[in-house]
Amino acid sequence: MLYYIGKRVLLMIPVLIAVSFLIFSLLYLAPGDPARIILGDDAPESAILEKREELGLDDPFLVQYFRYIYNIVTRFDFGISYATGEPVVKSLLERYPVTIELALCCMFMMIIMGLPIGILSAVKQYSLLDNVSVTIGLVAVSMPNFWLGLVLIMIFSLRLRWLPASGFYGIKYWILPAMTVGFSNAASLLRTTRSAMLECIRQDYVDTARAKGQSEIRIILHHVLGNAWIPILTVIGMTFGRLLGGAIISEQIFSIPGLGKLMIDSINMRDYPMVRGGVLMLAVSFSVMNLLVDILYTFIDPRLKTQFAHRRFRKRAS
Amino acid sequence: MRSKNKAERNLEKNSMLRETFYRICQNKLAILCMVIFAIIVILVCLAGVIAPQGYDEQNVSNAFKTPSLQHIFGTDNFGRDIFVRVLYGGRITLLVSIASTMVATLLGLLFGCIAGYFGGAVDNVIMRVMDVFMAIPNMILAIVIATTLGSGMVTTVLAVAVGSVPGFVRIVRAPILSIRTSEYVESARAIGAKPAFIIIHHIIPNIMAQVIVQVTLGIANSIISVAGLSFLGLGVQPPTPEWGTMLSQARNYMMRSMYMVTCPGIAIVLSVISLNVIGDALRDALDPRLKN
Repeated sequence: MLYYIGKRVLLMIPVLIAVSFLIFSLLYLAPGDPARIILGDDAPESAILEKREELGLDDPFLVQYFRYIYNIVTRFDFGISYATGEPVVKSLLERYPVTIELALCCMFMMIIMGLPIGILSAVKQYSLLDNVSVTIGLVAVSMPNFWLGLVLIMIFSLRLRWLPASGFYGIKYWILPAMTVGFSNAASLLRTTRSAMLECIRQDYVDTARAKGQSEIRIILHHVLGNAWIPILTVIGMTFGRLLGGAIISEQIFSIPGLGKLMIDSINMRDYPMVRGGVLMLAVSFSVMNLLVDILYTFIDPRLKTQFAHRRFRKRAS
Repeated sequence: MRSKNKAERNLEKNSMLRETFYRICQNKLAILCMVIFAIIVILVCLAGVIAPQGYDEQNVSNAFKTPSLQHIFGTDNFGRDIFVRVLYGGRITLLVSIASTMVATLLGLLFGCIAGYFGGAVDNVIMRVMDVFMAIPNMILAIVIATTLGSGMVTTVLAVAVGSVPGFVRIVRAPILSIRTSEYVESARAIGAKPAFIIIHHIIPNIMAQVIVQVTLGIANSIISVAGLSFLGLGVQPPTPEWGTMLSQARNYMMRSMYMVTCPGIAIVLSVISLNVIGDALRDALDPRLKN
């Protein structure tokens, strides 16, 4: 078990290094001379040369890359923002909790909407509820969240005036963004839950449990859901990553001061260190989340656990 | 015409294409969605014929009109006809989405076939590179690429395509791993066929079903990504009408006109739903075992 977790964590390191390299080189190629962006267009040539020297922009690409990584690893220093002149990491850490909060709200919304309805529609397959929820699920999966967000703002903020359209200061502000992003993700969770449950619901052990006289609720929650967890958890885990990416759009719509909005604003100001830091942070969170889900599998699925428990033994035997 | 013997006729009756077609015809929802998508495509292609006025014909005194016979979706903040803009916008959105899916499919086929067929170190290298791309959420990758290359139609195609390549590689590679060891591939290799020949003549026809399904669903996803990127201002730029760009402009006038928001949105939702349903139906029809 520990062997497996250790291996996965170690395997993640080269991926993260490659991700940072990819992002660094992509943004390195982005148009515009950083020194000119900082100093403005009408700065004298000598000042720009001086600034380039100061920022180390004349060094070879690889030197710049390794310096960047070295600074992050040793001092957690993501560079200085071109726009504000402050350390990037300060803004990132300021905005990061908001994005996580938003993602958690969306996850909550997604789970309370998707999971129970998915279970119910699998249990009562082909009933009215099943048909309605499958249809709504299909529509919701196909709906881009930026459009849903605008429609929700139009209905609940502008017409009914029930909820605020922008900002992120309390529960009232969380509802619309969480619904916007949660809805389509709830739909994919619903579809996955339903099909995973349906796969297990016709198994022999369910009939056995029923024959033993166990209550229907226990059968559904314990015997069926217990075996359907893997795909459901995969979707929940992967959604968290998508939420971090999708957050960019919802944060933009609802003017939520999170990492996503920071990135778009920085892109518009050509503040590349900020963009680089933000992207790295989101990518790292995404990878860590995927890793956690993978590790979680081994806890909920005993089959995987035994596979790794006997690994050493099997190797010796072969 | 030569007469066919019984076995040949049977074979024809059971040909995959015909069977697939027959199964799809039984799925009424899929037929409906095909009709909807066909109508959307035809309307969009014939935009110039249906709408004599241009998509950028402004008439400020005529702004924010509600739907009427003259402007069936109303007019926007510059008095431009929203229906006409949705039609012309569809051209760009659909074209960019389809193009990016095609690019992703070609790259996915190329890398997937190479990884699956040759296996070993080549496979390892390709899949590890794909892991790196998968470690970055698609939207973020697209945003970074669009930032670097600047906005515009071609860069939008690339930005959206790169994110979907890993998905295609995985879809293509998985079945090849089992096809590669099958007897007909082995015998082809035994008579001296080159890898490229085997891949094109023996492997690709066998994975075509999965690829077609993935392409259909891929276009649906691309529409959302392309519109999303333009919505953020990183994709297709105004004044070119594009569904995402139109929504992004509509944001500023939500108090004045609901049609500016609803019409392009409904166009997106209809296209994406119909493609998703068609994709699901194709998957069920091409491989009934997958149906749950």
